[in-house]
Amino acid sequence: MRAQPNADAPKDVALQAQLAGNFGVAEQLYRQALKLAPLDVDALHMLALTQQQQGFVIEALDTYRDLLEGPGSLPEAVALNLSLSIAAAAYAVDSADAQTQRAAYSAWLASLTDLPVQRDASVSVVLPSYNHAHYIDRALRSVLEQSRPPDEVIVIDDGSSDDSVTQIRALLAASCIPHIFLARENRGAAQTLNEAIERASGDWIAPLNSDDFFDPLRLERMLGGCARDGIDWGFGSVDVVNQTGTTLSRTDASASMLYATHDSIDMSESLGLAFLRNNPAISTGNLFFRKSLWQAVGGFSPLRYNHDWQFCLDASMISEPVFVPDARYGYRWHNANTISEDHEKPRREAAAMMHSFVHVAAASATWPVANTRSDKNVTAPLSRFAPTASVWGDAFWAMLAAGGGLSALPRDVLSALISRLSGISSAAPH
Amino acid sequence: MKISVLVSCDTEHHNSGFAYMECFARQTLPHDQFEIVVVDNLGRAAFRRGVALAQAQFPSLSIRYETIDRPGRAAAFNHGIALARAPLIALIADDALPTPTLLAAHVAYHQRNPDPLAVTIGPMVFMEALRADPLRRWLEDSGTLFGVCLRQQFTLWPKQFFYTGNSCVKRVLFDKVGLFNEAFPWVTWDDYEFGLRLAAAGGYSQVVIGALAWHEHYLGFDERVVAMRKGGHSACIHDQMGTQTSPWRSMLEANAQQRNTVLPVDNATLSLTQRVPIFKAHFDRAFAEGYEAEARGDRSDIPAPTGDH
Repeated sequence: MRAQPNADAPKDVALQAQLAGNFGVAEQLYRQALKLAPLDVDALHMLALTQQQQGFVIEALDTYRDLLEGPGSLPEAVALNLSLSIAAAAYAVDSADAQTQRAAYSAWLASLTDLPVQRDASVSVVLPSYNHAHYIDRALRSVLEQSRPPDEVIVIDDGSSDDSVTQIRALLAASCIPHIFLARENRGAAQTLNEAIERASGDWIAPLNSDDFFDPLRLERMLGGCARDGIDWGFGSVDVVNQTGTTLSRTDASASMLYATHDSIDMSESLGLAFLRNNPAISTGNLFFRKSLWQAVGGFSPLRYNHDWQFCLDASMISEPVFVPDARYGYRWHNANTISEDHEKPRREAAAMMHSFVHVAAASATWPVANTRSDKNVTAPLSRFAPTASVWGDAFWAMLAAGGGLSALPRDVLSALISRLSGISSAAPH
Repeated sequence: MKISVLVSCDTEHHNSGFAYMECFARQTLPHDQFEIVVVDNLGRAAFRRGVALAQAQFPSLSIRYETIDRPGRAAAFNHGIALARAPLIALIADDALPTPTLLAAHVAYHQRNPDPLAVTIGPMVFMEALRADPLRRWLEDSGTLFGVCLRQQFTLWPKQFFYTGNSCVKRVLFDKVGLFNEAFPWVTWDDYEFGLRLAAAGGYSQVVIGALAWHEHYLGFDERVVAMRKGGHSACIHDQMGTQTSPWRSMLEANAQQRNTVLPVDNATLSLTQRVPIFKAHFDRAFAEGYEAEARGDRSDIPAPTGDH
């Protein structure tokens, strides 16, 4: 009886060559392995990766297309590397549609400064408080000492066990700004935010985390940048600060990741698209939005780590945000940040969130086309700059790929996308 | 005036000065907020005529065309820096066609981040028509052209990256890092060496996609060979400064051992994966030969610039 050919031997040698940087040799060995076992997922994946490493993006995509012919969902590592190839292939395509959309967005941005500012717009600051007794004084004072004071302040203490409540009461009692203060049992950040906003009477909502703080000119500048016809929300620049309130630089090890996320707004064709990769607004407290938008979006979802990101994605579908660079937000990085309590859980929660979002955004011309999320039952017209494939074409796919969101898509959708991207290159005139 | 645009000329480029300036006329940043200083030390006469035509057609653009005798991109940029009037200085290659938001995007980032050590990088990528050439596509996608693949959608931008194809710095940065080193006589390695000093001073870059430029350069095999030869010379110049170890040393040694090997000839009927090893063999040898020539003090292997008439 003849022995079944074994692809493991050439694969092992190929991997050694690949690790040593001999990508051409590795590619040939993976091809040998595939002659022995044409459907070996591992060999196909590694062949595609080797092609990527040599700069053969289109060739890698063709290999990935073979991989997509198999059943089931793609392994996470395969989806990740496939995303890198798609992100590169879809990047900056100079099609007429892409250039038209770029020009339209640019013209819209340029037109914003001509829109009259709604000077009579009112602002409610909402502050969910939870066990930040060390920081609540700075947070609340930064609200009460704004150059343009808020029309009201709503603070809900979400079951703090430290002396936050005492401090909040004292600070609010000494202020002449209208305020509401509630202290109750813990219900979580998203629920507390929604309750506070529900009570707010302002046209605009400015949330603030109880461990962060506003720059003294924050509200004045946010109103100047956002309170105009056709603008429903925006966010400002983030300064990452440490426990003592010292601003950390972009080269500081503990802050560099946050700044990289924040600066990713510069790596996207539009602000709305940027949310497909990550959350460059960084925090709920850096958002500034009309109460009517919050209602249209259906409020904050009950996610522990990513309710702000989810809100931004949903809001982008209805209304393109604006960035107000001189409206600064002090984001405090400390040991007790919710996001730092676990590395894996926020990532898994984000993946699930993106999974449900992508299924709608990849195909829809309205938002949402169907009630795909159990916690929302709201429909609204789609923004003309919504982060969807129908609006942004390949820029959508590039950003979705950069954020890892492609893994949520069915294999046939991915396969069609790869065929089209490969075709762009092969169809180009010689 | 918010930003001074410095343009260095390269004789290998064959684009039109008029079309280039037209891209600046279409900028979303108002014309009174920027100036353009072209510094030509290579006798790009045709390019200059195109710029003159643009000066006449777009009178609201502030354009100066300077010619100097000192060779090299570093000298051109240093001359331009001395003339620049704005607090921000954009360094743009004359084959980087700016998209309309390029200047506004550079300015917006620097307004947001006042750190004097922050640098913006605008992507400079081939249009699809130019990517039809397999060599250009590979040079771009492999990151061989500029050191990183600028078409990549980075999760994290490599903040140590710097180039002068399309970048923008605050003028005060030069007080902290120094000017470009004019020991580099061509358009190679002056930006690499500046980037090392930038990183050593704590500087960092951020890519800004709105500052996209189309790389209008019909780069071919022979030109790339010459560029690699210049790169070899420049690497040797860099080594002679004694500032860094040589990460290219092993490549030079490997190449020396194979010096008598006849290199395979490129064949356009082969696949890209078959052609790339041939490209690399020629480019590596050109680099090594350039390095060795510079070590001997011999620059006769580099053709003199002829201008574009």
